[in-house]
Amino acid sequence: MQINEVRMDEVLTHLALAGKLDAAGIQGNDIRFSGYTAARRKPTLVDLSQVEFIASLGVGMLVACAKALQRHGAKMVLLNPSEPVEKVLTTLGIDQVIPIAHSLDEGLSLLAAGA
Amino acid sequence: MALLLERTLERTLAELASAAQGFLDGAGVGELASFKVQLALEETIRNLIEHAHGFLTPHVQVRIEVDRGRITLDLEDDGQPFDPASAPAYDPALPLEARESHGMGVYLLRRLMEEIQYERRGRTNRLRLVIGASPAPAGGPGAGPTA
Repeated sequence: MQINEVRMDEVLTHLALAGKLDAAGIQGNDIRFSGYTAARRKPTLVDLSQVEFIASLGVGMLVACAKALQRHGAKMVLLNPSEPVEKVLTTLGIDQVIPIAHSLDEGLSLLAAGA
Repeated sequence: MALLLERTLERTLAELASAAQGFLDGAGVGELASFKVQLALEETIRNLIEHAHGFLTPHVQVRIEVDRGRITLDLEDDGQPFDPASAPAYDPALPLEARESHGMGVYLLRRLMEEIQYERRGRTNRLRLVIGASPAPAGGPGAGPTA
């Protein structure tokens, strides 16, 4: 799993993940992801368009950080997952607690509205 | 068409997944079905490693068969008994603050697999998972004769 910074300022955290969110991909990177998201306590947009695979461990990483953000009054929105990745997320009901946007404008609107 | 894999201490889950993907590509299996196979391997073997043996799994055998629109995964291991039906329930309707970051794997398999069968025979766990094998698009990766 790769974590790429798109925008990191006082208003927003915008990251793009790439690769596999499985056991091998998460190892060590879950702490880095938490540092980029939960620790900054900013509204967070996570681009999943380059994520080719996600298992429950990867979903757990997203849930843990979204929960931590929520405790500090900040939201997370997921952006542009592929069809199989979105299938995993919706099957687990993740879209009900971490909204999924299909365009950058939609994602920013959801964050601005408090998701 | 079938593939037989064995996991030993030297052969990691990632290597198994890579070998399985190559086999599925060659069999002309579509993206979503291949994704489900990878998901099944990841969730079942990781669960086995974490819960049945600690961090070392002496022996796991995986057989993948593609036949007439179905993919069948047969996993055998000599770990502690683990029936997926006994896994704690997962509620996809919980609010975010009530969710845990673990405990989703078995639920995911129950929802995305067409069939799950578990049997304990002697000292061996036998798990069968069945997935519908939608074909890859014509001309795409793995295009050609299918199993």
